[in-house]
Amino acid sequence: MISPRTQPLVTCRRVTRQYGTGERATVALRGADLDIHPGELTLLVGPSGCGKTTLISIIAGILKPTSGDVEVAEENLVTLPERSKALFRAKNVGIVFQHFHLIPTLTAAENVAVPLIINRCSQREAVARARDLLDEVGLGNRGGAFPGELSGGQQQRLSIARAIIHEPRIVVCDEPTSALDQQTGRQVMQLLRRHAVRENRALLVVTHDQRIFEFADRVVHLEDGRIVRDERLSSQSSAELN
Amino acid sequence: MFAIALKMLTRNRGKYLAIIAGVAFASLLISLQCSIFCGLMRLTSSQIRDIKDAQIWVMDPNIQFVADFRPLSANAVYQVQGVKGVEWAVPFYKWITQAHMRTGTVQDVILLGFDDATLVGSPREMILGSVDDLRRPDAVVVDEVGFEILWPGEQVAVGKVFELNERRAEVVGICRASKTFRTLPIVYTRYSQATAYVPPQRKLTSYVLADVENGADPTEVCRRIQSQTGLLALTKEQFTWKTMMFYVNNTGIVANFGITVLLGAVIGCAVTAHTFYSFTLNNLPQFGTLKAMGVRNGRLLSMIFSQGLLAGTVGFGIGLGQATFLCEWINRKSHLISYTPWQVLVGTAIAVFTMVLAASLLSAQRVLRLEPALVFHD
Ligand SMILES: Nc1ncnc2c1ncn2[C@@H]1O[C@H](COP(=O)(O)OP(=O)(O)OP(=O)(O)O)[C@@H](O)[C@H]1O
Ligand SMILES: [Mg+2]
Repeated sequence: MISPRTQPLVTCRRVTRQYGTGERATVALRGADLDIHPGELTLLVGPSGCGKTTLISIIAGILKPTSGDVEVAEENLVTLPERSKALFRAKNVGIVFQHFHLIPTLTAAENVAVPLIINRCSQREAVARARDLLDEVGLGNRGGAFPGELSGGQQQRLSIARAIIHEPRIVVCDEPTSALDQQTGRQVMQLLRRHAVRENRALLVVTHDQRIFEFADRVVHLEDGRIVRDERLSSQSSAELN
Repeated sequence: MFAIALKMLTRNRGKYLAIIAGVAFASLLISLQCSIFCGLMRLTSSQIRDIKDAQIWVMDPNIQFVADFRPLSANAVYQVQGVKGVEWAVPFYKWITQAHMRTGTVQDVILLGFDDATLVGSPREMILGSVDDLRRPDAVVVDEVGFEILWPGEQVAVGKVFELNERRAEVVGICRASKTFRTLPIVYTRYSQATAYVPPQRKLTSYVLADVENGADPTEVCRRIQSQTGLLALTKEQFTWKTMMFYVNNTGIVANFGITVLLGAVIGCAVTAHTFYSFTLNNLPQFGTLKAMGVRNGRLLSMIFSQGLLAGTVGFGIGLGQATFLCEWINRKSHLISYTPWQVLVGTAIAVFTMVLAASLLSAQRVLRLEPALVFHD
């Protein structure tokens, strides 16, 4: 394991998470320790049910850990009150979902504009910026289309644009390519690399998809609620992909 | 965020139309039922309303409602005239008697006799002839609906003759009168003529109609009349209420019709609440996504409320439009009559918006309790 020079953007210490109580309790995380560094694309892999989704939900600030410490972008998410946590998410977190979760009644441009509007940007300016970003992700001519009128790959590009438009410190993705064919999946990963990995920003991607490992700087293996392996891929190969 | 909320609502065409239709249906149902009920209640007092000139009705203290018959002595008029604050007072005669038609049929009619000199209480809206023709001997005016009952199938016309108490009555005019609760022909004539149309008796005044001097308070004058004459004196409004309350307390109208009204209101409210609630539930995943993206609960709430407010306002407007149209139609085409006082509109609005608000709160509960982490599980 190589330790990078930078301050970590995400620090998880002895993080546990249990669903339910008593007989029917499920322990999803059993003391996960993980640092995520800015400027890197980290893959989180592991067998089904090992706790991947649980872990990125905690890092994204949408789920409370049962115990342990979580610090993201200099905020302690364990002690942060609910109201401030919403504000924290609005500013610092971008989320890409497996099934896109776009709002069907908003146009492509309006969907992408939502995070800016949440951050109190005016409707007009937000939509204008969204249109610029849509240009960059290759959807410049589909800004007025509704999500239902777009292909799966286009919808995923749209949801990536939505996850990055407000320049969040961390972008988390849960299986962003599993609903897409190989070709489209690669395009989506290229797009993510190009737009979500920046000097002070990090990208965390949960995947089962072996085909996209080549895009990663680092692959973290989770098993039964614990980090079991942490591989750093050669920086050269990932640099080529950029 | 409001713009987003409203787009979420209005661009979901099918759902939006369904909600609006639901709210409109509820508004229609509630306001129409209430209007018909009010119309029915108003029928009971239409005879009071039809007399426009007098503000005060003086009557026997035992009278329960306007269709009640308890004659007063002829003295009553002079007694009332003497009360301070009374501008004028005239006798008004009202009796149910039988009209004998040329064809041999007999029909109950309401006979109204108004003051010979002033014609206070005479019909206002003439279709044929004029009120002045009533000064001729044997002259009577019949209301339009009554004419149809007395001479079925015939064109309204003056010059028709029939008999009241074996005395000749000649129709010199046709007038329009408000519908009454019991549909009987109304025969208008002068007081002196009316008393000739009934068997001789001692007491020949049914009511004393009076008006107050400029600036005098009618309720105060009524009190004075009451204490000085021992008769019951009521303003038009008071008498209208007394009459309505009599029907409320002594007939099944409220019990029968009230249940229909209540049922309509309950169904309307339920439809409104249900459509809006199911709309928000349908949008739950989208609210979840917004929540995960950092929208605070307060803003989610205001989004739901603004959706409810828009759907409620549009639906209410449409429903009210339909109700107005239907009321108009009912009044023209049927024996029912509808009447929509502003209280009905306000009441309907309150009911509908309360329902939308309640549905919003109910569905908002679900949105507020939504775990944002659930967005990853679908
Ligand atoms: N809301 C929940 N209620 C109860 N149990 C849950 C809940 N969410 C997850 N679990 C359980 O916690 C464990 C970890 O779930 P998690 O979704 O984090 O796994 P995962 O690694 O993302 O799996 P997959 O690859 O199948 O998506 C599983 O056993 C799962 O059944
Ligand atoms: Mg998962």
